[in-house]
Amino acid sequence: MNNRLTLALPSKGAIAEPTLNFLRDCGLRVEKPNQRQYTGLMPAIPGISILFQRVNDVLYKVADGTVPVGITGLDVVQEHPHQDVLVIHDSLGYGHCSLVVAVPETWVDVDNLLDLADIALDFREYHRRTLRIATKYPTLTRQFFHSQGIQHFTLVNAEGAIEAAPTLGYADVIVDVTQTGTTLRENHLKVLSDGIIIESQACLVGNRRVLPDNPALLDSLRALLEYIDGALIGRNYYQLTVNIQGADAESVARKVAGNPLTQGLQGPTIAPIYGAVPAQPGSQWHTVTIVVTGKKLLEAVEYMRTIGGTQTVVTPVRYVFMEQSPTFARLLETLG
Amino acid sequence: MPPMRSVPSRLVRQITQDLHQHMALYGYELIELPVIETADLFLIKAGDQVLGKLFTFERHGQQLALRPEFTAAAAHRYTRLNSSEPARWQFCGQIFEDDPNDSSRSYQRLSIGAELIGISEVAADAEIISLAARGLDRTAIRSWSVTIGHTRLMRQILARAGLDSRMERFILNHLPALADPLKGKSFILEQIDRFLLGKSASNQREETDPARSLETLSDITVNAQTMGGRDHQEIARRLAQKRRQVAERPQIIHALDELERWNAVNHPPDEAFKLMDSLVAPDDAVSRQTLAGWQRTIELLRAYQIPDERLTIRPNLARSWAYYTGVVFELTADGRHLGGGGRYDELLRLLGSQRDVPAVGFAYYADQILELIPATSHADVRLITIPVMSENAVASAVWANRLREQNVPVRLMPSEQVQENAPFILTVDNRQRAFLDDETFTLSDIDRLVNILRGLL
Repeated sequence: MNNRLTLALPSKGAIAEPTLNFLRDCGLRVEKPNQRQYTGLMPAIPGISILFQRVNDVLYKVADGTVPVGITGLDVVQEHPHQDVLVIHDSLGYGHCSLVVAVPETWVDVDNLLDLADIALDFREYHRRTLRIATKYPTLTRQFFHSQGIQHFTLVNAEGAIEAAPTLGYADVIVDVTQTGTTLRENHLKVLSDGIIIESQACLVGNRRVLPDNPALLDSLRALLEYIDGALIGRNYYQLTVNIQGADAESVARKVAGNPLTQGLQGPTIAPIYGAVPAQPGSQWHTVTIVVTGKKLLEAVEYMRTIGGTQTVVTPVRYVFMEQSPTFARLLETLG
Repeated sequence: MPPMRSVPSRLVRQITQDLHQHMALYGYELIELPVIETADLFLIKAGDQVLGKLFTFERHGQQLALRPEFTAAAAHRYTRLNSSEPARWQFCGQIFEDDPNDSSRSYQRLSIGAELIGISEVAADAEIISLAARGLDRTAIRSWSVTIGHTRLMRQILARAGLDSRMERFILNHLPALADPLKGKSFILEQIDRFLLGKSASNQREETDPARSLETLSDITVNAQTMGGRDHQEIARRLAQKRRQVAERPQIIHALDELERWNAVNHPPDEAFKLMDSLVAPDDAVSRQTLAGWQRTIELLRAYQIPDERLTIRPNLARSWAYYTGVVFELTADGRHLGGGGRYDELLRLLGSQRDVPAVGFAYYADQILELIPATSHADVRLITIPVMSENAVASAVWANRLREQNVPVRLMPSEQVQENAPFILTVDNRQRAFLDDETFTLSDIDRLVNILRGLL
């Protein structure tokens, strides 16, 4: 058995380049020795080989066990459900898009799915045909429409510029992925107010039959997930280094930890400063190092100021490694 | 649903054969229909219970399904025949459903039923109802009853309120909620406000300004390329319709009040028709005509010897409003639904027929019927038992073989397992003699034995 973990990555399409950027930001630069080949390496983890595939093929290859893990879109995974495919990480934080139901904007009488259900019946009654929906996502579309009580429709299988289908006349409405809605608007389409079928982003998938059988694969996968989890968790934090006066380290610590915002992951690190700037009598300068969440950064800085903090230096956190990779721990639990 | 017991397959065959013969007496021809069809064929029956339970799969880019019922396939077959002759068809076979609420996880069940396609008269309605009901007499079920409703009548009552078709559909689909004491009228009104009138939408005021809306419509649709198969008039008409609905709330409340009164009708025929007669408005000639036709159906059922005490009239009996267009009915016994059906005059056109084709049909829930057949009718099939010991094993095999050659059913049983009082026992000794009651037979006079056995069986 091959002990190298092959990771399939999208070779083209909307998430191809963002995937390489994401991995690079995680410290997992991908090297492609030959631009014409479909393989690559990940120097940070020597046990991993890279295989470039089209985004749908990434899923198919993982599903049939040809490759044990891959990165693809959640929309692709949900469109082609397979019992052997396990979503290892469902939110890699890029490649965001929504699968939506869009109708011509001239349909000013149609705002929501209830309207569309009505239109579907109108088509049946007045046009003697069914509502035609162009999509590359027949499974999700069918499920969604049925769940909304819309039964009378025909799916028009389309590849390429689906947005043009209502203008070209081979479909009445479309179901497609959109990131910003610009393409839809340019094609005079509007999204129904309750027409979001799924929210998608890039995800890491694996084959649940192949992975448990090979400890070497799991070991490489653990390393991959350590980097990914470490980087993704790290993105949420900043490290603050603040100078502050106090009688001793303990009294400074009490002030800093007095606010939950500045308690850090475990508590502040405090060290005395032996500098040229004299402190007030009975005090000494200390430097405090804490990690705060990005969302509360300014609030934390403000609080430190209120307790005498100055010369605050903020640096982004590259990684936060917990006691173990939470995603890997979850995976082991799922695999039993 | 009570747990299913195991039913011997010969009983299944027996019931199937009895019902087949019964329907053949009415001139219904047994037809075979495909197990796999395109999913769309079944989905045209909107609102039916099967939709969420369909087994679907994709082949060659086409969505296919295992049949969840027979009607759509039968109607499709008739459409393709392109005939104007009425068709009387019966069918029998497995249908397939994936019902998450069914704890038995039985994905297939036997369905038996009939379709009468091409006849619109009340006589056809009566024929199908009596065919279905009297068929139960062929089984051992004696306590059956029929509940009959009428979707067209309810539509006509609702149409009087002057609501548009969209609102009508919505209310019809929510009729079961009207009869539900926990939901009722206020629940339906709440749903209408929320989904149809968009009361929670913040742009309500802007939306209801007709001048502004028409201006917007004209701006957007003039010279527009992207119309998605609809034209300006259609969009404008529907937009105006939506506007009107907001103003129509009093009519909606009136319509719900009216339907609530009809909900109270759940009686034997005489009483029910008297009550319904008082509910129909004096100037509502259309509903009166429907009511008269319905009454003629009931008279014909009496002629078919279906007594009034077996009939309940319940006009709002809901069996898929999107699909049925006239009389609908359900068969029940001992609290079980044994089958049901109704008139579906619009289905064939939806399946591609170039003309309106009236049709009515029904299906038995055969598994429920089999559950109700009394255990006593499960008596063993009549056959000859030969008790076997080591001494007569060869002789028993020889006799069994010879008798089977003459079409006499025989089973060999270890002698210690044969009950003393078991019927039709043929004893065989090691000299190849057979004994029945007081008579002795040898293989040379097997014909005489066969004659006696045939008489016994």
